[in-house]
Amino acid sequence: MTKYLKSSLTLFCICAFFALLLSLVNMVTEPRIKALAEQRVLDSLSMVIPSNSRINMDKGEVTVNKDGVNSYYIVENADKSLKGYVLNLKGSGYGGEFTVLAYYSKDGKLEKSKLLDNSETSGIGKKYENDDAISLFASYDRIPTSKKDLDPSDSLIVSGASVTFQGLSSALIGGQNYINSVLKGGLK
Amino acid sequence: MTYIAIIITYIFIQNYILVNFLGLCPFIGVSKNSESAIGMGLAVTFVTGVTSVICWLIYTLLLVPLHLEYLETVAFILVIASLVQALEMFIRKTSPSLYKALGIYLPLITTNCLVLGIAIINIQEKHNIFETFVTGVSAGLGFTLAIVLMSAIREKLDIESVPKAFKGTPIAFICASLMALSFMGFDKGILANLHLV
Amino acid sequence: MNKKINSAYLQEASKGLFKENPVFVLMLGLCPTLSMSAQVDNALGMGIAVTFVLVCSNIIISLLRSLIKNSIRIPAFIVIIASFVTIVELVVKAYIPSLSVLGVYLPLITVNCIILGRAEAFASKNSVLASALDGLGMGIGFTLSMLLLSLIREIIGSGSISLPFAKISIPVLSTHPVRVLSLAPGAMLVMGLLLALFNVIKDQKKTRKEAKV
Repeated sequence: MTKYLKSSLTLFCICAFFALLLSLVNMVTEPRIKALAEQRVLDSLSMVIPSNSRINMDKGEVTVNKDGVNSYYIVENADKSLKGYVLNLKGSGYGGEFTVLAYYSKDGKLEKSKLLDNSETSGIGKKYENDDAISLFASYDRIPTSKKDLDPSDSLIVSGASVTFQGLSSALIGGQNYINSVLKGGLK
Repeated sequence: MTYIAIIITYIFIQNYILVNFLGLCPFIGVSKNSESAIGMGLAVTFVTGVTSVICWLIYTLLLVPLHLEYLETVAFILVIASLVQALEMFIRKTSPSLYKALGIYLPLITTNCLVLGIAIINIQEKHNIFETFVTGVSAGLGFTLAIVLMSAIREKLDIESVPKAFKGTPIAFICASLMALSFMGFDKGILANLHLV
Repeated sequence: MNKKINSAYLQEASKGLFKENPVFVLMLGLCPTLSMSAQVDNALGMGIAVTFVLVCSNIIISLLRSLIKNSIRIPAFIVIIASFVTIVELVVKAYIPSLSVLGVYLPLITVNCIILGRAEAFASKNSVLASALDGLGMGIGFTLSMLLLSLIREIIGSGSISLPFAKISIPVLSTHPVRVLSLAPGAMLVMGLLLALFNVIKDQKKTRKEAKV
């Protein structure tokens, strides 16, 4: 019996020692990993917001998780008045789920959007990672719901990939509705 | 994703051996005859199904509340190793026939990348507990499918005349490569066409 | 006397390179080898990570070899290896974010058979220095094999060589790459062909030796 006790004690000591070692390493690396993740978010946010504005980082990311809206950030003018919102939207396309970052002005007009991580097959759904294709949605007064709403020259850019087009369109319209019905130019 | 979509994805579209190489060592090592291939496949399916759920529970109920997410790998591999050991003892006691069929493969499974890989991927993909279970079982079934097909090919190869330099593993790799090539035909578009996404 | 010991250690370190090459001869740790060999820089990163874990775990296991009883051998080894893997993972995430493409294959170093295999077969029976050298040799052998595989796959499959700080693109091949080699089937194909090539070389050596005798 003591033999078992002794060997399990050794095992326990080894586990405890390494858990301690790992917590030390984690203490050193955790703040850096967090900072890098935040930096990545900020970098992608700055790609969609207008040049003379900034994200309100005091409020930071407001989580929603409703109606296809994951979360939103508040965008301000230089004088801290409300300019618009960046919405983190969820949608589904040809190959699975994707995430879109979209900037809307405070009255709900879509101005710029960018596709984040997604699992679309290369060549077909990936078209939308190219900025030409996804900026199409912002160039119309009403967000196009199907390819019939597009100018003939534009539909060439997004030829194929109808499922993804529809998925993106409904995600972006969902975001617009969220701003017009819930946020209404103010804060929830 | 619906459960059917998960099953189709992990058995065909993203077969872990043929697309991500998880579990390649037993795939090449234990595929010499179809009997042992089926045994290995079923043992892996059983273990991935059970361990993925238990690892998920440990992660969400223990590691996250205690802010110990960095112990993920250590905790998971310990769970897998001890669970495989316990399973072996349990099967030996309760069902000697099952033990005869799966017993010798169980110890090999601890170091099968597939088991740990699935446990980690379930956490990364933020699956809930049911999705975790379905993912674990279907990844195991995907492994079974691939290894059984492979063993059938290798049994045929035994009676063919293969160039001397290619005998054994080299030709097995080339067959696996052709299999992977044909599995590339299972495109994610299947899911869209079946209205599963 | 001293010279003899030195050469013994040298042998310990060099056997991993060719005679007991972990990838092509022992055929261990195939999953990271094939999946991370589409690009040279990723292959190099993976190789270095594996070498680090291999050397560290070999040293610790060799130090503790008299303490660890036979019955708790496997769980103890696994905990030690998994801890070093987690250290590598955290450091990579914090300081080398470009290597995060290794993704799930980084924690999977834990179940890489090379590491547990060396712990079982060598470190648990030999002195600290010999174990460290064994780990280093095996790690370098693993890294070199990955580099060989990734060079072939990237040059033909993408027409480029991505080094950590630069990307060399190769004329003609970069515009007309044989894409399949950078995908999963290509990895297995190259592996099969290389194994066959090594078989041929081994055979030739053998016949030459026999001819001499």
